[in-house]
Amino acid sequence: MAVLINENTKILVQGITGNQGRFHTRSMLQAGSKVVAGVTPGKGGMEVEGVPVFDTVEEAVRETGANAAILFVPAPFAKDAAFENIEAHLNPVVIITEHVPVHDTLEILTLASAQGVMVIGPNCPGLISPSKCKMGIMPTHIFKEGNIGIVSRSGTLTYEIAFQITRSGLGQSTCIGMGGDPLVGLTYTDALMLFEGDEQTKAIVLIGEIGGGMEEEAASFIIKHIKKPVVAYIAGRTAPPEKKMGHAGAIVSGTSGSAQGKIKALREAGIPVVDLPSQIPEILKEFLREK
Amino acid sequence: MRLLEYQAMKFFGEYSIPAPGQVLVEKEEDLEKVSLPFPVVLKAQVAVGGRGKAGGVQLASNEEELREKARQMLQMQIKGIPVRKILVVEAQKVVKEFYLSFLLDRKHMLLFLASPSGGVDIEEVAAKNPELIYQRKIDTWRGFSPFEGKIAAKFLGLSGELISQFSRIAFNLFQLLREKDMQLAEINPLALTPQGLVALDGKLIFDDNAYFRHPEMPPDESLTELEKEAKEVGVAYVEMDGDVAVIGCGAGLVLASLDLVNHLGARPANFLDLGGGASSEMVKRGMEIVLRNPRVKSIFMNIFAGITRCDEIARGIVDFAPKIPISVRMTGTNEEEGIRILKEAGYEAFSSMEEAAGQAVLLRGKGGN
Repeated sequence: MAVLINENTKILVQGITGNQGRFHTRSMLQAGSKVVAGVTPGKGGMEVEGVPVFDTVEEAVRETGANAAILFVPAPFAKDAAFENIEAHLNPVVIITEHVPVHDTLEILTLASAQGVMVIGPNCPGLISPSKCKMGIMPTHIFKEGNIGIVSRSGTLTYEIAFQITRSGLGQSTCIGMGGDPLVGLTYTDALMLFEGDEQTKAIVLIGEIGGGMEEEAASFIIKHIKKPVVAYIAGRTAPPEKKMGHAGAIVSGTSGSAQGKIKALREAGIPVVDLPSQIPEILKEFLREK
Repeated sequence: MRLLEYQAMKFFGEYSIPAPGQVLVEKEEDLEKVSLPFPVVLKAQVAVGGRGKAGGVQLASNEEELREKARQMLQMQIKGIPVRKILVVEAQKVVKEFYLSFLLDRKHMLLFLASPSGGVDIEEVAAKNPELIYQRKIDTWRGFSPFEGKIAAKFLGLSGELISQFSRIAFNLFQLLREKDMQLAEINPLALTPQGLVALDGKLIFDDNAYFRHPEMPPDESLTELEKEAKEVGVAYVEMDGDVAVIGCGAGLVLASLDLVNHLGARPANFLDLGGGASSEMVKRGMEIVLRNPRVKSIFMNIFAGITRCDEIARGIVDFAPKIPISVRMTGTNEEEGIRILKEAGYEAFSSMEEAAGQAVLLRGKGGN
């Protein structure tokens, strides 16, 4: 069945008339996604890649029955756009936009949780259930339908690992990029819970990196709630402390957030943590043989 | 961006958070402006932890001592960072030290922390004596209410007039966090003196993504010259101690590339993230920046192209023609074209990151192309 998105997902693209919005709308359509509506205030009545554009989300939902949203709007406008989609109960709401102020994210996530809407991102590549639906900016051809669930904080590192899994002959149920900001909507525990309940998913890959405490949280969550096998990779063992490494979230401060601490927590939870991304497919194959 | 103490203190002043009298000193002549009663404390303005142990905090009990110690301090380096500014502060009679902060974090969203164990690293207190930390999740829409400060004040053992005083300081600090887009607003220590509560040191971390609505925010003073230049070019650069320069697109993959170099027995010289969709011009500027570091002996470039185009990257490399060996991994959008361009110009190109990294490690010390 895959998680969060599937063949019944009807996507609304907020910011569809911008370069990014237009480019990725085409790519999502080519991947087989049902993109049913676009929204850009003042551009209602236009068409982009054959998709009708509306001035407001409310109108777009009424006319097209859109049930999920992806945002490409510039950071200063992301908060209002997210509010608009959450209030219209589109679910999930995927925020691709980078550089959203963290106080805006705080308000977005607070509203989403009150309205029961799952937000993915901001500053994320989105998600894909191969052969069913792509709601994101990842290259489509590196994925293949299969039974591995992937959840990650990083973009290109996820592509790397997904591609290695595909080349090894395995495939993915759903691959989720949570985003690299200090505050993000969907977290590892949400994704793990979804994969645990998904029939298609047989094994899970958790890709982490330095900063924050989410991987440690995931480790204790797995002990209590996850029966499916999990393999993990943590990037940033060589990162110097107190330096921001690209992602706003990727910073080791003081003693917390280090790769070593995360690896230790995961190993103590009985989860194999590989040294190199290329070691993941072999472990997944072992998991599947043991079944 | 982590603000320096003197910058944080300016914001404290703006938000009526009490602090001792202080003067910023950048050169010896500035000492003329110091009209504080002695003794005073000299505090080096560097954005690293542990400055006290490194001699970056000193007491002066008269004018002569102040002059002498200020002169020394302005020539000091703390953990490799030269001291350019000193904050001279009126020394306080401290009865007790507390901790107070507000922060945004994934687990609690908006969090209020207070502790009677101030003046030390709060992470240490959390690990050793978690019972000494008062924490409370703050409602996003309602914000912080003074009653929440009063509850915390009782936890800290404060009584009488100090309860309202503490609550007022907490309220003002919260306003500062929200209005100035801070990820962290911390007073540590918040000292109890005969005159009441005063902020002796402060740490503010500003959310760089909010610069567009804060023209009043100062530029980041904690960056090295190269890091500053990288920021202007639009790439993320962090200097490290090894000799293999690492360049890639996407923070996670660059981090994994550093680890891979390390795994192969070498040390990375830097982290450089070109971001998504880099132009050949950015590739050139990126290489220029990493080569400014004299330790670099080879370059490992790791490109997994989604919105990036491999041919664009390859053209950047060929145009720039680095003087030291470079090994490139390329896969994704326009990969064949990119690898062809590189191979024709005589560069090493691979589709696996492990092969490319191995080659970069091997090529160290082998000179130019």
